[in-house]
Amino acid sequence: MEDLEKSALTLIKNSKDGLLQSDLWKMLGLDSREGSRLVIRLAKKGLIRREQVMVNGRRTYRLYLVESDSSAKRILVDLTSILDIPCTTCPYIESCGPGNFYDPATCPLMDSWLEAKLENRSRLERMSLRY
Amino acid sequence: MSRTSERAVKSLERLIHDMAEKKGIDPDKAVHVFRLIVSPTNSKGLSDEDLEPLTGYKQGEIRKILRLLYDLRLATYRRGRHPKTGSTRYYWVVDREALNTSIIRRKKAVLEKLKTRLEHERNNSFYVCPQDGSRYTFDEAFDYEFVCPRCGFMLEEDRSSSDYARALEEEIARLEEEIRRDEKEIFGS
Repeated sequence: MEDLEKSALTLIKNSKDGLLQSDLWKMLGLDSREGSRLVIRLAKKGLIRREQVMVNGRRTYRLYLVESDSSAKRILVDLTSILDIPCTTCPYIESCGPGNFYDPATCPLMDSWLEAKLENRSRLERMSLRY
Repeated sequence: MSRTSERAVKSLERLIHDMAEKKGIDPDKAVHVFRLIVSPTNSKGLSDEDLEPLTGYKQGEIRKILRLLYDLRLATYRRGRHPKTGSTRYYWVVDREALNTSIIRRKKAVLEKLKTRLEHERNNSFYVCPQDGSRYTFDEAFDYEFVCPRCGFMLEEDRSSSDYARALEEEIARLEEEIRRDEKEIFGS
């Protein structure tokens, strides 16, 4: 990494509520064009995050450091809620559709899943009636 | 933040586990291979030959697992050359950003199936066999002259079909909301 990028990163790191892009290039002694190129480079590397803000009627960015375990690289989407639906792990999900051999309307796996769901619910209702 | 990520990884591993099981692949091996590829130390990619000594599994098994991961769009490969022999090798990596969109795509596919089913539940009236509980649409029941083809009992009108529809509606609403939330988190608002 270039020295310039490093010093930019330290500056962003040391500012608590994020650093304005317009302040950054002034601090580094660059012009705005060089500054914005530098910031874009860092953002592309996933090292910083930019948030567009208005300051004195001019558009600029507030820059934040991205922690090393960067959020962009995280596995974020949780599947837990759909794991019990048979389609989720169905090997035939691609060829399943109305009128096909595999059809959600006639799928026995979906039948039993729905039945189990209804049963579960009526059991819960019975339990709540009891108490 | 990191806890949701942990949950997500766990759920993903369960998906791989279950899918592998259905495809006749050893599920624990599949999860093991996935963990090796997804690990942050694997930035250059691992070929099936690299994975063989790391896991002790047969190359054929490993390739089956990689194929499964590829089909689910969870892993992808980079074509490269073996540093010494110069022959073509495939180096497997997990593109984490693409991974998140793949999971969302899976959710959307499931959602679509549920919607198709809901349509079917709404557009038909159903008959059930009091004996074995099998369920027929009106047209099917009409063809069987309202007698269960399996046990010969008279079919009765199914009163629970609105329950089915309601359960599906709830599930669809929940899933739609979840996908919206996921997309916001991944792509920004």
